[in-house]
Amino acid sequence: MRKHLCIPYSVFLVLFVVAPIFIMLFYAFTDAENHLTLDNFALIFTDITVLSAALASVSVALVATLICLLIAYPVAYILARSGIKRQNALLILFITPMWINFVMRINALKEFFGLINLLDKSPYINTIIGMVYDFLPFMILPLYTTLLKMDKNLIEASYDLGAGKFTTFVQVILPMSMPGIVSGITMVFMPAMTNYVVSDILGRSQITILGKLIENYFMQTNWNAGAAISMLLLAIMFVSTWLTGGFKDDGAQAARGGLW
Amino acid sequence: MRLFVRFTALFALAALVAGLAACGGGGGGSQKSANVLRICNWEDYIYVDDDGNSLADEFEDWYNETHDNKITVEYTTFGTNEILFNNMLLNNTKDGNGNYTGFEYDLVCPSDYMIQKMEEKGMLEKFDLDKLDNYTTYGSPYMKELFEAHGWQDIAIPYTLGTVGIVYNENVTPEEASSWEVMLSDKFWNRTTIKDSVRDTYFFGVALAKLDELRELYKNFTSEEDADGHISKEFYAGKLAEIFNAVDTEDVPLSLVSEKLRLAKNNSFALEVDSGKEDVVNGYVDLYLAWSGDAIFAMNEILSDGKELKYSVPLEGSNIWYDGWVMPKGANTELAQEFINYICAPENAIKNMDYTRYTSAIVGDEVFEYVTDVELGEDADADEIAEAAASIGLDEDTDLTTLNAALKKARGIAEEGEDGAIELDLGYYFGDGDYTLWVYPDGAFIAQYPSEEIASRCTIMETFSDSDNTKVNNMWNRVKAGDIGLYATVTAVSVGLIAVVAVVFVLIKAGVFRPRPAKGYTKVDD
Repeated sequence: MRKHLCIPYSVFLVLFVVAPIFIMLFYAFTDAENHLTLDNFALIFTDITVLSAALASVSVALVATLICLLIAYPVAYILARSGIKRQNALLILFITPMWINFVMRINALKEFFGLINLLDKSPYINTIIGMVYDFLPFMILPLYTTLLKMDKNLIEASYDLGAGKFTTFVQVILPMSMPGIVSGITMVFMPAMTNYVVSDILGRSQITILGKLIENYFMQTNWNAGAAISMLLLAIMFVSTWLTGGFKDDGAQAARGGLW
Repeated sequence: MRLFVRFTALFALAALVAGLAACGGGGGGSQKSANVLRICNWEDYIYVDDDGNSLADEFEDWYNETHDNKITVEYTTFGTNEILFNNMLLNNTKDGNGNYTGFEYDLVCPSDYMIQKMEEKGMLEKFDLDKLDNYTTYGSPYMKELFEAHGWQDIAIPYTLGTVGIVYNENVTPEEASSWEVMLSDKFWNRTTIKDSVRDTYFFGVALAKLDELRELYKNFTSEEDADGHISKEFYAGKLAEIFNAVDTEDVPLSLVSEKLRLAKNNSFALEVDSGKEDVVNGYVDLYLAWSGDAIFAMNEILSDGKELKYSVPLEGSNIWYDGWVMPKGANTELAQEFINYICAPENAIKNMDYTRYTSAIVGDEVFEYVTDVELGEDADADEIAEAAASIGLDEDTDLTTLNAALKKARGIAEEGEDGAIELDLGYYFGDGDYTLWVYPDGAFIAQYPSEEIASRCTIMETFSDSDNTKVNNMWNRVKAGDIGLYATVTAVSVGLIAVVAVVFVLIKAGVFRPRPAKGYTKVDD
C-alpha cells in the first residue's frame, strides 16, 4: 500500500522529466521537416561557433570553479571550526543571498559594477566574477558539511604521530574533505557552463556560452540544433558525474556531506 | 495479480500522457466560435487604462452594448515574429490539399517581412475594405501607398511604424551621428550598443559594408535634378531595397558583412534588445542603435535628469518598419474587421499612441492636434504643473509660460523660424491639409514622424528564403561567439594549473616531499 504513495511522483517524473527528454531527443535527431537526420550533431562537431561557445563555457566555468574553491575552502574550514553561535550567524550570512532571486542579484551587481566603474571593463572577467558571486554558496555548503562531520580525533592523532600542520592538512584533512570538494565542483561547474543570465547582464551579451547558444538557436526557431546541443550538455554532465563518482552509493555520499 | 496491477497502472499512465499530449497538440487555444475574437499582439502594444482594461476590453463592452449577440475577446501576446510564426506553424488545420484552413487566432499583428512570409505561405485571409470605414477615412496615405506597392491593400492593415537610427548624447556631434561609420570609430570604443536581433543586426551590417556606395547613392539622389548622375526617387528606393535585402551576393558578400559586424561588436559596449535604453540614459554609452519608439522613450527619460539625447537616421539609409494586422486563414473575419475598424477610430488611435508611444498609421486633424499640442492649458492645476515640470527636470514652481516652452522643446517642436530648426511638412503622411510645423532636426518629434526625406532614404526589410535565413543566423551566431583564442588559452592555462596541482598532490601523498621528522622523533624505515 505504501508503494502507492509514489504514484504522484512517478506521474510527475514521467510528465515533466522523462517526456521532455524524449521530446528533446526527437528534435535533436530530426530536421525542420521532421525527417530523421544526424545533421544537428554534425553541426556541433564541425561548426566553429559551437567550439567557440564550448570553450567559452569551459573556460568561464573552470576559472569560476577554481576561484570558488579557493575562496570557499578556508571559509568552510573556519565555519566548521568556529563556535556554535558564530557558526550559525556566519552560515546565514552565506545562505541569505540564495533566498533572493538570482536575476535580481545579478542586476543589483550590475548597478554596483556601474558605481565602481567596473561595468565597462572586460565582459569576460565580469562574467567570471558574476558566476563566482552566484555559485559560491553551492561550494561552501558541501565543503562545510563535510568538514563539520570530520572526526577531530583523526586530526589530533595526526599531530600526535608527529605530523606538522602542513602534513596534517595534505595527508589527513584534504583527503577526508575530498567528497565535499567533488560535490562542490559539480555544483558550481555545470551551472556555470550554461547560466547565460550572468553573461548577458554582466557580460553585456558579449560572451556566448553554451546556454546562450542554445537560446540563440531556439530564438531563431532552429529547435533541432538547440536540442542537439542540449543533448551534448547532458552527455557532458553524465560523464562528469560518472567520473566524479556521483553514481556511487547515495547513502555513503550523503553521509559524507554531498548535496547530490 | 501484482503484475496485472502494475500493467494497469502503466497503461493508465500512458493513457494520461497521451491524453495530455492530445490536448496540447489539439490547438492549445480555444476553439473557433462566431462569438469569440482571438487576438494575438505584441506585448505592451495596446492602450491599457489605469484599471487594467485594455482597448480590447473596451471593444468587447462597446460591441456588446451596440449589438444583440454577445461576444468575448481573447487577447494574448507574443514576443517575436519568429515565435508567432512558429506557433502558427505548429497549431493549425489543413484541408485535403494541404491548404491552411484554420489557426488559433483571428487577428495577429506581425511585422513587414513576416506578413510577407505568411502571405507567401498562404496563411492569410483578405480584408473587405468596405467594412473598414475608419481605416479608409483616417489611414495614412503614405502607409496605404506602401502597402499597395506590396499588393497587400486587402491583406494587412497597418498599425504602427518606426525607423531604426542612432540615439546620441552631447559627446557626439550631429555630423558624426549622420553616418553608421561612427559605430566603428575608435573614439567611441566601448561606448556604443548594437542590436542583438538578427534582422536588425544584418541591416546594420550591410550598411557598414556598403557605406561608400550608399553615400554616393544618397548624394546623387539629393543632387540637383539636372546634375551629373542624379537619380530619381524611385530608382533610389529600388536600389536601397536591393542592397539592404541582399544575402551573400557578389555585391554584398556575407563575409564582408560578417567582418564589419565583428568590428562593430568589438567596438561596442553591449549587444542588447532592451537594456540599451537604460545604458544610454545612465551614461554608459554615447551611441545607442535604436528603434524609434525606444529612442523616444530614452529621450523622454533623460529629460528628468536635465540632460538631452538626440536621434539621427544616418544618411546612408536605414530600415523603416511597420507592424500590421492580418487575419489568418479561417479567422472570424466579421469580428476581426469590426475590431480593426474600432481601433482605427482616431480617438482610439490616440489612446494607443499615448500608451505605446509608437507612431500610429492613423492620421487626421485630431491625431495631428494630439501630437503637436503638448502645452498645458491656463486651467492646469499645481499638481499637473509640478508633474510636467519634474518630467523634464524643472523645478515644480516653474511658471506656466516657461514650462510650456520647455515642454515644446522637449517634445522636439521648435518656434517658427527658430535657429537650427527646420520646417517639417507632414502632408505626405497626413494627407491633404496644413500639416506643417517647425521641429528640431534631431529631436523627438521627427523621430516619431520622420520627414519625407528621411522616409525616402529608409527601406523595408523583406523576408529571406529559409536557406538565406539560416546563413545569416549562423553568421551572426559566429560573430557573437567571438574570440576563440582567448577562451582556448584560458582553458589550457586552467587545465594546466589543475594538472600541476594534482601532480604535486600525488607526489606529496607518495611521500616525495616528506619533511624531516619533528623534534624528538626519528625516522624509522618501513
